[in-house]
Amino acid sequence: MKRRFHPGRVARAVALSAGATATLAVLGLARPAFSDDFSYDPPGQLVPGSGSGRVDQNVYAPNMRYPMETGPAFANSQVWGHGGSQGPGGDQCDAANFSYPWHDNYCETRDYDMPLCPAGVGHQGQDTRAADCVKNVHWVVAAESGTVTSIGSYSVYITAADGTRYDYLHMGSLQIAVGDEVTKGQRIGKVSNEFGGTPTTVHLHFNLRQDVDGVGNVYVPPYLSLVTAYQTLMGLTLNPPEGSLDEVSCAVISGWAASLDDTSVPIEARLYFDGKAGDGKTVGHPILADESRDDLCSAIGSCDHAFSVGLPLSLLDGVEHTVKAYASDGSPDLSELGGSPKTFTCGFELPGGVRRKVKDVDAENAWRFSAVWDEISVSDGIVATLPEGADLEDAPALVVSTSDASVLYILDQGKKRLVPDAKTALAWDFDVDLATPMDDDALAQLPDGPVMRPRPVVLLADSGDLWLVDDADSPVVPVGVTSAAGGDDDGDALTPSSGDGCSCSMPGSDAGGYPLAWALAASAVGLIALRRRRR
Amino acid sequence: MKPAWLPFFFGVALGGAACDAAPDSAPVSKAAGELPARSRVVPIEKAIDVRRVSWPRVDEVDDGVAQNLSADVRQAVARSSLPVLVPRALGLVDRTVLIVRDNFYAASIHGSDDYAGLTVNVSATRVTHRYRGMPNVKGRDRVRGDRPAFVTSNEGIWSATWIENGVSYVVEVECAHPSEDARCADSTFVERLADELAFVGGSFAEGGAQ
Repeated sequence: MKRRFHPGRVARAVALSAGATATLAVLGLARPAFSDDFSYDPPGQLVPGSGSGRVDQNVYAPNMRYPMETGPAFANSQVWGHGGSQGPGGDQCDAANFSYPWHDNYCETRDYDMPLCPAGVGHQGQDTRAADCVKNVHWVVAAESGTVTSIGSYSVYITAADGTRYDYLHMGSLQIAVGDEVTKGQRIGKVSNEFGGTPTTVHLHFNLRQDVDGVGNVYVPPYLSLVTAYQTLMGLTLNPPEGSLDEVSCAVISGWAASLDDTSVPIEARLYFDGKAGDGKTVGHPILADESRDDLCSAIGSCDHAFSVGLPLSLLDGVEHTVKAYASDGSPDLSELGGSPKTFTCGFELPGGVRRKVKDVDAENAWRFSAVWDEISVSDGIVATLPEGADLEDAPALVVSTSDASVLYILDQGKKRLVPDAKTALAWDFDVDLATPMDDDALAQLPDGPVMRPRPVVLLADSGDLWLVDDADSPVVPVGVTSAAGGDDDGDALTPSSGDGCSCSMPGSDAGGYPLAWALAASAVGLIALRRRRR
Repeated sequence: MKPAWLPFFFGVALGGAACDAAPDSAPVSKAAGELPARSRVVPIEKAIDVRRVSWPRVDEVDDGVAQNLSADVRQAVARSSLPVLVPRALGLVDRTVLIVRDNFYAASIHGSDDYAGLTVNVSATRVTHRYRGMPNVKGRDRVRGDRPAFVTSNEGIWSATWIENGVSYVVEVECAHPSEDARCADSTFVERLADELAFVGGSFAEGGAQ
């Protein structure tokens, strides 16, 4: 039996504050026809016989606008729908093509490479129809602000600041030119059937193309992004999310973000450094706001909506930086957090240990070292103060115990290195789902190496070489996976340069340095930048 | 199998860093709603990063091809935070319109002469999106030597994508009349185009942060 979702029944709202209820009532009155009936089949569920879909809950473009100016609109297959070459007959104007539920048709049967499709081949995007089958009537609008980077015979590509490309095919009545800057919601053309002289059905073929780490620049599933955007278009919305940017120091960026109308799931905080959302050039860094904080329990009736993250190493340069923070629940408009923006000016203190060469960009990418969060530019002279250790492996070899899935190791130089706790796994961006199982006997045969440090610290030297600051190769006693801080005595010396948290220094040469004050501070408030928190 | 401590990832991973003190700006008290989930189906489990570019040497710039770019485009090339690759053939390179932004470039070309009827797009981005549980997949095709690539067709538009210089590139070919143009009949032309792209420069600036 098909599962269908009826996600937007805001009229059934209960237990809202008076203010929120009033707002919803207004939204309810404003909602267009077809709103309350909206439903959609789950992602990956294609028209029977049309191939294997991708079951994927990711929303790849979480804040995009629906790419048509008005609703209703209908996402379904034009090939397997009425009037399509593989359809049940009839013509493209059949009422069934203009009814709910929506159907995913990403990965629908095609012959061409699609690495994210179960079959390895398939349809790259999603077909969507406007309110009716009349061409050159219904406006297509930019789903996201960006630059028009290509206009072909029947395609328009708009690329956003984060590199995501939004593709619009088969339009007529184009309103834009290559190089134009467009804003989210701006009219760019009309739904039509342009297809290089051989008309297709009247529909908009919509793609999302992103550079996906580990795969490449590929077409990603647009279905749930369209669902999300459509709900907003049709007024199936609640109040904007709220939150606060509470603290920005040299140790931590923290605050909270939540949708007060639906606290059952966490939402994102999104950080923009030295820029702002929608400026067309600054990349927003998502952080899942799902940490528990006692004060939120009483204040908003739900505890798990806080976030905290260490500062990006690349910005510990003694220069003032600004961070603007927003709450994002997936709807098109981001809500800036209270207390945002804030500024910080912080320095960097070189941790002790050895330097291990990161051989090349491929190794850097394989280790998922972030140029923003994990790397800092330093002089060759500073790098030279650290003794040189063995080159870093080309990629992290993650293994997990078959008898105890909580025990995760990295294989390094023939030794196993414990990843001591979840915090550390997060900080290194180790994806446990990708770890290789290994039985205990095999693990026992491997000598122990140093426990992994709490976070990666990567030095980008003047010469262009990259060096990971790591421990010398000596066995240590593993600590339990529930250890709060993990690490070792001489690791993690990323330090605020003074107690006030925001003055500047670049001491650099104190290779063995690890100020006691910092150690205490780190253990007290967990000043560990968790890259995994950026999710 | 997922480790037992995996829930920490989304639960209490940074509990130690949570501040017990009242926030600077206390949240407004509101009753929690009991609405069905609306727009966001699930939490978004991703991270965004800006890759560091691995620049070719300056002496690898193909001056012969670069000279066929317009003066405006050559100026734009010099601003690019990514190494710029463009087609080398006349009828394409001389028709290049170059879009340069902080984190990507795109060469948009409407071909002429031998390449009339073609829209060619060459682009690269240094922003990468990381998704939890996304396995590494390498393209089964090869371009530009032995680089793994994905070659595909989207509504008749052929594209090839691969990693080079530490970032991802895409080249695409769209025919004005795809059903009648042999260049859009299969992957041969787009693969040849990818193989022949020339490096014409860039800012050579250290890239990454921001």
